Order: sequence, then structure tokens, then C-alpha cells
Amino acid sequence: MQLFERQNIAYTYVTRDWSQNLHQQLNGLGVSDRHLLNMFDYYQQMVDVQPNKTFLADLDFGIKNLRFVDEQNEARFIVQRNDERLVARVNYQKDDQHVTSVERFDSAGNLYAIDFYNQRGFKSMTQWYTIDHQLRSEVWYTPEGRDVLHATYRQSGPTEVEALGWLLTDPDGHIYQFATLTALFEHFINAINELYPEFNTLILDSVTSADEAFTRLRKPAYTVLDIHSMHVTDTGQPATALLNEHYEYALLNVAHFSNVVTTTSKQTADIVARFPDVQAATTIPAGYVTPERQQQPPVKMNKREFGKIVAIANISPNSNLSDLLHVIKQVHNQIQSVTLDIYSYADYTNNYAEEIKIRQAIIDLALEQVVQLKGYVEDLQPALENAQILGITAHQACFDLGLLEGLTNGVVPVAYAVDYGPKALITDDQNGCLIEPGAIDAMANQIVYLLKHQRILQQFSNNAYATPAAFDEANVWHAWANLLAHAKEVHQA
Amino acid sequence: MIYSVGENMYAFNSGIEFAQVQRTKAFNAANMPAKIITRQYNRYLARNAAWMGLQPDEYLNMYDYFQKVTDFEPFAQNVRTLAAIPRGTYHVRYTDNNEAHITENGQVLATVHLLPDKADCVGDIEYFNNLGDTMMTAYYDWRGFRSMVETYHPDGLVASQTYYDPAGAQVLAVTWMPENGESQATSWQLLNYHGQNYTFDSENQLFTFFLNELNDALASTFIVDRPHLATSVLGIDTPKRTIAYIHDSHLQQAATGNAYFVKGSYQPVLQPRGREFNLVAVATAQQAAQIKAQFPACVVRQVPTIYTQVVDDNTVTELQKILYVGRLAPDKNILGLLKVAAALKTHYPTIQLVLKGYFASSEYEAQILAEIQALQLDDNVTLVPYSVDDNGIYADASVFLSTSLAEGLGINMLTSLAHGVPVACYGIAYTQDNLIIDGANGICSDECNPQALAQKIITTFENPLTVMNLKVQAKQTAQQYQAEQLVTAWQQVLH
Repeated sequence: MQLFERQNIAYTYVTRDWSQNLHQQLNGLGVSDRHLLNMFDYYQQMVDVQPNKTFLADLDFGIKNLRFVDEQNEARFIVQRNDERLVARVNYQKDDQHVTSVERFDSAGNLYAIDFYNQRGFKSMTQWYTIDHQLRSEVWYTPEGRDVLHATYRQSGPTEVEALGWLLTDPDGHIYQFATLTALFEHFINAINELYPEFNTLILDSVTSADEAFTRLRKPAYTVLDIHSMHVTDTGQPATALLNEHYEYALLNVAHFSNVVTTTSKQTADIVARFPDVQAATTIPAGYVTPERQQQPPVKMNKREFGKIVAIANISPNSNLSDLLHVIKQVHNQIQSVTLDIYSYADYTNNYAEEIKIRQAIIDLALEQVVQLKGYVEDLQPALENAQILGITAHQACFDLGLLEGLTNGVVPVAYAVDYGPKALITDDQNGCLIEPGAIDAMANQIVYLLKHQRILQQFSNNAYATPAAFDEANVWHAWANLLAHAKEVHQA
Repeated sequence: MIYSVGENMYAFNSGIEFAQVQRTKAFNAANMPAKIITRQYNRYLARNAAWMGLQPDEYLNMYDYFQKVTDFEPFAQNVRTLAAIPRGTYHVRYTDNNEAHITENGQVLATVHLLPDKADCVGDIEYFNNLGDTMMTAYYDWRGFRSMVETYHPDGLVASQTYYDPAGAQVLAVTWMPENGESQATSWQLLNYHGQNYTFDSENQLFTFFLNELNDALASTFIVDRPHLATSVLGIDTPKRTIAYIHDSHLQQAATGNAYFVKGSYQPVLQPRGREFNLVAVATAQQAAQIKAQFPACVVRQVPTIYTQVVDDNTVTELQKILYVGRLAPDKNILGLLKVAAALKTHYPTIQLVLKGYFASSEYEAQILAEIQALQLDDNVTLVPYSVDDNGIYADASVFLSTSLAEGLGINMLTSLAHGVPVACYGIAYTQDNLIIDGANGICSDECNPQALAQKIITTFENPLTVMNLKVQAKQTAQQYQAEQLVTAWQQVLH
């Protein structure tokens, strides 16, 4: 998206889910409001609304002689009648006390509704509750207060609710009913495809959100299946391995897509080989490096912390970080000053089972002074300009943005030689080292060798700095431009 | 403005609604601007009011007022042209005259119920969720616009009612919460009313607010005809005048003994907390005197309830057909009518009893039907459904029969008198020696038992001259209840 933004092309970033802070979040990711089209915004008729804030004084409770108590510790105002009956709790953001939500109480003291105020200064959604605090429905409003979207829920578990149906009033006054959010999203995709009169190019990124919709659009479009991750469960057996559940439906219906995009040429080839119905396939790297970024002066190895190894990987079974810990243990046995910093999120699956396992392994291997879990960091550049080696022990990986980021900052990757990312981005003994998957001893030896031969490490680092040329902005944009040109050809054919 | 404050205009109305309509029409004819106010939400109100002969500017409903539809021009919202149904996406199947189904892939998504008396017009739409339960109902007003939308708690009880103006803006939101297995309205929010929200705890609070809004626009006289609305009317801050009209007996006999006390329903009228009515009006001097004796501070006046028009369409002097017109309700003692008929049948085997009106409940209807069989009156009793227009039914009636044990006046009896049909009734307070004088315009039995009344009827009809005399006097009584007298009496109390 940032690339499209920078190239200033007529693109629209379409998102499905409602979020109170949607625009702030996506603006932070570099998506401007004029290119952002959220389904809820669209039906709430608030695509073009200026940001604004709601304050306590803007709220109208419809009751005179109210008393207000500021509970700063809870970041809320308590609103009471003269007789102390609770009218509302007004939750605010601490910095300037602008209103985020209002919990409303009826004459009998029941919490019956919570209004959510968005960053445009009006009530966007209200949650309606039962007498025993179960969410029974959500209603979304236009800026004028028209209720345009209703969802009904029932309690399906101690903490879960299940949507039982959606009711949409569109801007023409038609009332549509949907069993699921996915069905509503399909309606929306068709609506916006028909809204823009030209032949549209629709790129499906979050695949299962709309893969069914893309295979049966009411109006033809150039449809792109954008595969960001591994499409098989074992990249070593691409012709026979089970399909990744997220791509299974789309790939089995791949004839309905105009183009399949993956991030590496090997993955593209694997898909074309396995699915003869593929109409067209294109390789476009998932990341790119801007010219400004490439022009930054390199940091020499002797300016970096000796023995600093980093990993940029989610703490999940897929990242196989326990292998990396064993590698580091062996390296540490020979070079005491080696350290490993692991960046990125921990996977919450099974109540953070993998993080618990990794933390236990650190203790078992007595690496408490060596390994640190750094969590997610917004700007990795300082850490990467201080590191010498990037360790990757995943048994399979897709285009790895962390790896590209490491190369861009001259960090030398040492990785298992797996499809797709590591083998696509690393040339063994040139800009890094590829190790046979599972060969912990070999990887440890390689890292020890590199640390002990800083001149070679420096040479690899120089090559690492040079690698991203293939992934510079112009090249990646060129790949997209080709795809868009193909879309036009298909339409005219 | 003179407002007559009531609850509703029903499909089936009682004498109180007829009295309000007559009073309002008489006032307007006499250049005394008047309207009926109704409180309850009723999407058939415009139809019912038209049935009652009311013009749109002769009544004002609270919900209509806030929904900005007091002068909405009715149109026929045909289901075939309803814009809310996306016909390119769904199928609409017109099942029968009562409903249509909105379907997708054969599944019913919503049911459109059609208006009972307006062919193919939308009455309401029930939208179903994935479980087949109703997740929302959109109610359409008889005049054609979507008026109110209801949503539900998971157990199916009403959770919210939202009222709209015809442009689709929310104007009133009512929240419902369960209490003892029933939904209770716990919050009433008037939205963006002249730019502001107003929150109320009850419909009565909202009603008081509404009455004050009317009175702020024009200081007015408010005549309340339903005692449970008295408190709201007394909540008007600076009315020109407040009047309570008592339409029936304000007294109730104690469960044991002969003592009488004020009915609970009339306590807000006669013993209000705080403000009092400027005037309490009743139909008879007798009731006025009783109230005055018990509540010396109360300003009480006799003012006519209703007027009638004499119709020369009846010359019957033989006992053939007994008529009752009115609510078929326990307080009207319909069982008593049957017993009188049964007693008459021993002398007049072919005697006919015609009951015209609507039953108060289906249970009561079943009870009456069973009693007709038990008394072997199947061939003697005819039930005629309610209609506004009663003309014609009096033409062949021998006598009008009432066995009601309490009446404020007896509006149905007055109508009968106007046709020259004498009234036979029990000699109860406010009727005997007021509207009905035994031996003059009717037959009153001091004993409130069917045999006694039947015997008096038999005796009376033994002499056609007596009956003819009763008929003449009946019309003379009716002559005293003319619109002019009603207006004059009101003018005296309104100054």
C-alpha cells in the first residue's frame, strides 16, 4: 500500500472490520484516508468526514441537574442524577479527556447500552445489552444518527458471542439480510466493484475474508490472488503437501482468478506446476527498499557489537526458535561474548505455549544472560545497525520482511536453506550463509567461523547491503505496473 | 384550545370515545376550537379516527406529534412497490392476502404482514436471524410510512422500540428490560426534539412533557376523560383550566357490607396529591351532589356527556325484539340480559334478544355463548358485530334492555330513547330518576333481579297504550340532550 501511495496511483485499500481507531491505525501505516475504504465507513456514509473529538460537554443525556464526578484513575466521568441514580459512565482518553465510549443506564439502573465514539467526533456504534450483561446487538449509525447496520448476537460461551444475523440499510434504502459478516463483505465487494464504472483490479490479500466472493463477482473484474505466506504445509514437497488451509479454497478455484501473485519465483513456479488452471502468475516481492533507505551510509562490522546476533521472528512453532537457542548455546561455549536478541510478537495460540516453551529452554540451556526476548519494536534500525548476524532456523518461510530488513542494514544472515524466503534472498557464501535444515552443529560452526573471521563477515555484510537492489522500489513497482498493464490487456482482449 | 384527553381511538370504542368525539365536534361547530388528545401509540389511529368521523385536525396523538406526522397525507404503501425490498437480490412470494415472504435460495428471510383492510399494503415486516427467530420488526403506519422498529432480547421479549419520522430519523427510543417475565419500558428518550434530547422514566412522564409542550404553545383547557391520565394532566404547569370528566360511578361497594368508597382509579381525580382539578364534571346532578358531599372543596358540576338526535323510525308496541347495544363486558352484566330473556321466554317463546357490540375478551365471549346454550336461548339470541353506525337496528326493537349495575349516565340508553325505544333497566344510581324514569320513558325495577325486571316488562307490554306513552316520553327525554344544550352547559363552566 505504501508503494501505491508513493506511486500515487488510483488505488483503494479496502478493509472489512469496524474499529474505533481505524483511521489512526492505518494512517500510521502510511495509508491516507483518501485511499482507505472501510466497509463500515461506507455503509455509515462517513468515508469523507473530518476528524473531530467529542467531549463531555458535547453529550446530551436529556436530563437536567446532573452531577459529574471525574474518576481520573479509571479515566471516566460518572454521571448521576440528583437522587444519585447512575445515568452514564463516560470513558475518556487520558491526555485530553475526549470521549471514547459512554455506558448508559436506564431508570432501573441497568446498563443497557454502550455508545462508541470514533475519531470523527460522533457516535459510530452502540452495543445493546441484556439485563444480565450479555451483548444482544450492535448498531452502526451515520453521522446524522440513522441506524444503518444491525447485528444480533447470542452468548455462545462464557466469553464468546456469536453473530446471528446482519441487517443492512444501504444508501438507497434497500434492506439486506446476511447470515454472516463474510456474506455482508461479499455484498460490499460487489457494491464497490459496481460503484466504480471502470474495469477494476481487485487484489485479495486477506484471502479467506472474500475468496468465495472473488470467485463469483456479479460484475467482471481483474482478480488477483495475493499469496503472502506459504501455500503448502511443507515447502519441501510443493507438489504433494497438504495445502495451507487459508489458501486451499482459493487455489482449488484458481481458474476464477485472473492472476496469482506470490513473493518468490520458486513459489510461483510451484503453484503453476501444481495447478494447471492458473490463468497467470506473477512474482512480486512482499517488501521493497526505498532509494532514501539505500543511500544511507553502511555501518562497518567493527562499529557493531561483537557477537550480537538477532532474530526477527514471531515466537511461534513455525519459527523453530528452539533450534536457534541450541545453536547459540554451542556458539556461546566457544565465544563467551555472543548474545541473541529476539524481536517480534509472541504467538498467543494455546495461551502462549511457544513463548513458555522458549523461555523454559533459555533457562534449561542456562542462556539467561545471553538471550533476550525483546518483543515488538517499531523501529528496528538501531538494533540492526548494532548486530552482526541474523539467525533464521525456520523449517520453511515465505518472503521474510525481517530478512530483507536485516540485509538492508548489512546484517549477515545465517539461515536454514529452505523455501521460500531464505533461499530466494540469500546466496550462500555471498551475502550470508545457508545451512542444511536441522544441522544445528553446522550452523553453530558457521557462526563461530564468521565471528572469528570478521573480514569475511565484513565482505558478506557489504554484499548484504548490495542485495536489496533487486527489491528496490523501482523494481517492485515495475512488477506491479506490469500486472496492472496485464489487467488492462485482459479487459481489452 | 379545548383538549379532550383520552387514551386512544380503538377499532372498537366505548362510550367514552363517542362522548369525546361528540363534544369535540360540538365545540368546533360552536367556534370553540377543540381537539381530542390520545396518548397510546396506535398505527391504525388515522383509520379508526376516520371511522369515528374525525377529521385529522380534530385529534392529536402524542406519538404522531413527536413523529411529525399529525398531518401526514395517507398513501397506499403497496408491498409490490416497497423500496426497502431489493427485488433484484431476493424473491418475494405473495403467499395470500395476509402475508408475503422475502426469500433467498428458498429460505425465508422475512415475512411481510399485510394490512387487514387495505389490500396488498404493508403492515409490518418481521426479519429473521439465522435461528429463524425474529431479530427485528418494522411496523408501518396505516398511512403508509415506516413508523416503529422493534428489537428483542434473546428470549424473545421486546428490547427496544424506536420511533421514526417519515424521513427516517429516530425521534423516540424506548428501552425495555424484563421484569417478572414481562418486558417493562425503563427508559424513554426523545431524540433531537428541537435540537435537544429528553430522557424520561415512564410514558406518563413523556405524556406530561407533551401536554406541557401543547400548553406552552397555547394556554389551553384540558378535559381528561380517563382517570388514569389525571396525574399527567395535573402535571401541566400553567394550563388555562383542567377538568376531569367522570364517565361512570366513582364509587365501589365494599366487598363486605354496604359501605361505598371511592374507586382506586378515581383517587387521582378526587384525591390528587398536589395540584387539583379546576373542575370535576359528571353526567348527573345526583352524582355531583354525592361528590360534593364527600369532597366539599371539590368544584363539581353536572355537564352533559353526550347529545343525540331524535329519529322517528320506530312504532313497535308489541314485545318481540329486545335490544342491547354496547360493550359486551362483565361490568355491563350481559349474563343478566340473558336471564331476563330466559324469563321472558316462558311467556313469549319466540322472543328475540339482539346483542350488538364487541366482547371485552374471548374468555367472556365463551362464557356468554355457553350461557346462551345453558339457558336454551340459541334460537332467541342474535349477536351483531360492533360498528360505528347503529342506525337501522332500532327500527324494529320493542324495548332496550340494560342490566348494568353501575352507569354514569347510560349513553347507549339515551340513543335508544332518541329512537323512541323505551329502556328497561335496573333502578341503579345515576340512571334511575335521571335518564330513565320508571313509568315515564322506561321500566325500572327496584329489585336488581332478572325475574322482577322481566315481570315488569311483561306487565308494561300488556297495554299498548302504556307503551305508546313511554315512546313519546322517551323522545322527549332525548330532546333534552341536544348539541346546543351540551355546548351551553360547557360554556357556562368554561365562562
